[in-house]
Amino acid sequence: MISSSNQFKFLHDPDVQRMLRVQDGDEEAFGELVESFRERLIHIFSHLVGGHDAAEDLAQEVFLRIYRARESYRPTAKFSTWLFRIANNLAYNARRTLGRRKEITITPDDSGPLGPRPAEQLLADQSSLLPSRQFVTREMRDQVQEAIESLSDRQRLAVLLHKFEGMSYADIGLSMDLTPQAVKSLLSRARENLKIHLKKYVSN
Amino acid sequence: MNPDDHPLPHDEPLEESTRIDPLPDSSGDGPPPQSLDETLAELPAGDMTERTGETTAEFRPGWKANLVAYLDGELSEQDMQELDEVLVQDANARTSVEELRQTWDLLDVLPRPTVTEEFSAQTLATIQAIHDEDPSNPSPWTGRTLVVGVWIVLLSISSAAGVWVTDRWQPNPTDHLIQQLSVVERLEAYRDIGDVDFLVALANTDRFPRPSQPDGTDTREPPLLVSIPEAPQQRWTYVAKLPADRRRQLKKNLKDFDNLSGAKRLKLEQLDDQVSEKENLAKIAADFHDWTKTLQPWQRDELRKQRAGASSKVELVVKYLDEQQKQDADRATGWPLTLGNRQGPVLDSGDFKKVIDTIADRLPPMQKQQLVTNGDLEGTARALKVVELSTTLVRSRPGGRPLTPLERLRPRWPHPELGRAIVEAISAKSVREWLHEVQQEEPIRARIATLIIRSLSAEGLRELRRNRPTRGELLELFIELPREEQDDLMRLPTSKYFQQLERIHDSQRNPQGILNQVQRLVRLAGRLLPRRGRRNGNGNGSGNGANKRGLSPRGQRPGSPSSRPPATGPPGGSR
Repeated sequence: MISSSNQFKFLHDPDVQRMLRVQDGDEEAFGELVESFRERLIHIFSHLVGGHDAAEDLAQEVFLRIYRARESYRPTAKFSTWLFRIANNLAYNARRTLGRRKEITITPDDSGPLGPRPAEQLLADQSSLLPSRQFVTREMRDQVQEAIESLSDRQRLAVLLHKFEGMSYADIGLSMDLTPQAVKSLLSRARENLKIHLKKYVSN
Repeated sequence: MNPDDHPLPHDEPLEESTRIDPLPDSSGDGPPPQSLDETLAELPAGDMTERTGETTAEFRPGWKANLVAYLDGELSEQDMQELDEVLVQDANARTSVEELRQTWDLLDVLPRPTVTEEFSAQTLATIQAIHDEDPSNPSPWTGRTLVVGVWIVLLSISSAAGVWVTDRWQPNPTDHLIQQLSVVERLEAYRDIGDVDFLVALANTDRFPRPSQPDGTDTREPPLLVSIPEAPQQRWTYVAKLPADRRRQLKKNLKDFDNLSGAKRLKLEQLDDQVSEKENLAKIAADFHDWTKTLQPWQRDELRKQRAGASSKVELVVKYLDEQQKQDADRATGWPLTLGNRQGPVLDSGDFKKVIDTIADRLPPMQKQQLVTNGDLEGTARALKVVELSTTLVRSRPGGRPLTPLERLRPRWPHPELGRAIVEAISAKSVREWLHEVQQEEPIRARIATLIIRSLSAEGLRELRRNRPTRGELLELFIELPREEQDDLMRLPTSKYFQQLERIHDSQRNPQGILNQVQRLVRLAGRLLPRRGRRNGNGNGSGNGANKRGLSPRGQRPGSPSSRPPATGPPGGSR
C-alpha cells in the first residue's frame, strides 16, 4: 500500500501539478502533458505490442483515459507512475485482443522490397562512418530487439520502464501492481535472459 | 539476511500480502496476477535450479539475485556492503556484474520512435470533442452496456464500501489534511490568538489592525487573509500550488494540530469559522500575528501562556504594544529621515525623480559626461551621483568672487537658478509652501538642501521596499552566508532577523543604492546642511535634540549616523 504519509510528497511532481491544473479546467496543461509523455509512451508501446501505428493508438487511448479520469484524479503517486500503470493495463488488453496473431511491422531500418527509406538511410549514414560498422550496428540492433522480444511481457515492461523511464523499483512496482521485491526479482531474471541472448556482444 | 534461507524470490506471482493497492482510477481492466505455474513456465531452464535453492555455480542464489539490484543502486546499505565483499574476493562475480552492465548498455541501440505533430493535434482534438460532448444527450444504452453499467455500479458501491471501512480503521492523513486545511494552514496564527473570545476582545481595543505596516516583516500574503477554498478538489490544487517549504510546514502543522487536546482543537476550529466568515476579524488576526513576530521570544511565550482570560491577555498585548510604540518614537529621531536633526517634508517618488532629472539636466557638459560614464546607475544610486556632481561644481560665488576656504568646504548649493528650477519641478503644494517659509537664519537654499537629503533617504527606504525579496530568496541568501553570519542572524528576534537579511540582500543587489552608501550621504549632508546654533567649543553636546548646540571636535553630532555602527535595518521610526 502506498504510505499515506508519503502521498504528500507527490505534489512536488511537476506533472502532478499539471494534472491538477487539468482538473481545474486548464487545457493548456493537458497539452503539456501530451507533449511530455507522447514519445515515451509510444516508445514503450512499440516494444510491448509492436507496430508504430498500434503504439500511437494506444498512447492516444492513455491520454483519453487520463482526461476522462481528471475529475476523480487524486495525486497519490507520481504522475508517470499512474500513466504507465494505465499503459500497462492497455497493453495487456491489446495483446489479449490480438491473441497470438503476429502483427508484421515495418521498422524504419527494415530492408523491404524497396530497401531502407531514403531519409532514414541518410541518417544512418551520418551516424556511422563505415558500411561495416553500420552493418554491425544494424545487426546488433536486430539482436537487441529480438532479445527484448524474447522477454515475457512483464519482464519487458519492467526493463523498458527502468531503462528508458529511469523509474525506481518502487515506482515500477506501483505501475505494475507489484512489490519492489518482486520488481527486483523480475528485473534480475530479465537481465539474465538478456545477457544470454546478447552474449556474443558482451566482452569478458 | 542469510541467503541460504531464501530461495530466489519469485518474480511474477504475488501473494495477497505482497500486492499493493491499486492507484486511483487507473482503469478497471488490466493484467490479473500471474500464477506460479505461468511464472515458472516462462523462466529460462537454467533458473529452475535456483528455484530449489541449489547453487548453480560460483554464487549462492541470493547473491546472484542481488547483482542487478546492485548495479541499479537498489540494494540496502547492508546488502550492498556484503556484495562489495563478494566482488572483491570473487573474480567470477566481477565478470558477471560487468556482463550484466554491458548487456544493459546494449539496449541503448534500440531505435527511438519518431512522433508526428499530428499525434498531439489529433489527441488534443479528441479531447476537445470529449469536452464539448453534450451531457444532456447521452447515447441510448444497449442491453449489454446496461448490464456492464449495473456491474460497474455494483462494483463501485462495493469498492466505496471497502474504502469507507478501510478509512474507518485507518484514516488517510492526506484526506485529513484537506479536510482540516483551513485551520491547519493558519495554525501558527491561531495558536497565538488562542480563541474567539480573545480575538473579539482584541477587536474592541481598536489597536489592531495597526494603521499601516510598510515595514512588515512577512513578504508573503498572510494565510489568514487568503481565502481557503471549500471544495476538496480545489483544496488539492491550493496545496499543490504552495511552495515546498510551505507544504512541509502544513504537514508539521497537521501533526501539531492532531496532538492538541480535543477541547483545544474545538476552540481553534471555532476560531477558524469566525475568521473565515468575518473579514474584519481576519484582518485583526493577521495583523496581530504579524505583530507577535516583532516581540521578543519571552514576550511571545508570556502571551501564549496567559490563561487568566481574554481580558488579561489583551491587557498584556496593549502593554507590550505601548512599550513598542514608545521605543519606536524614541528611534524616530534616528537616521535617516531626520539626518541633520532637520524636520520637514520629503518628496514623493514622482517629484523626487523630477527634481533629480532637473539637477542632472543642469549639469555642465563635463559632469554630464561623467554621469553618462556611470550610465548603469539607477534609482537612488544615480540620484546620489547627480547631487554629488552638482554640489562639487560650486567654485565661485555669483559675481566671480572666489570662495573662501570655509565656503569651499561648505558650498552654497543650490545656486539661485538651479534652486528656482528645483522648486518649479515640485508639484506637491505642501512642500512648495514649506520651502517658501523663508526664515532669517534659514534661507530657501538651506531648505532645498535639507529637502533633497531627506528625500534621498526616504527614496532609499521606498526602493528597499519596492525591491523586497521573497521569503524564498531570503532563505537562499541565508544558506549562502558564512556560518558566523548565520549564527549572528539566528540570535536576532524574528522581525530583526528578516530586516537584517533584507539589508544584506539589498547590499548585494543594489550596492550603490543610498542605503548602502551611508558615508557618502553623510558627507553630502555635512557639506550642504547649515548647522544650527553655535559651536560651543568643547564639543560635549548630546547632539540628538533639534536645537542642541554641541558638536564633536570633528564636526559630527554625537549620535549621528556616522558615529554609529552600520544600520542593521530601516529604523523603526520610519513606519
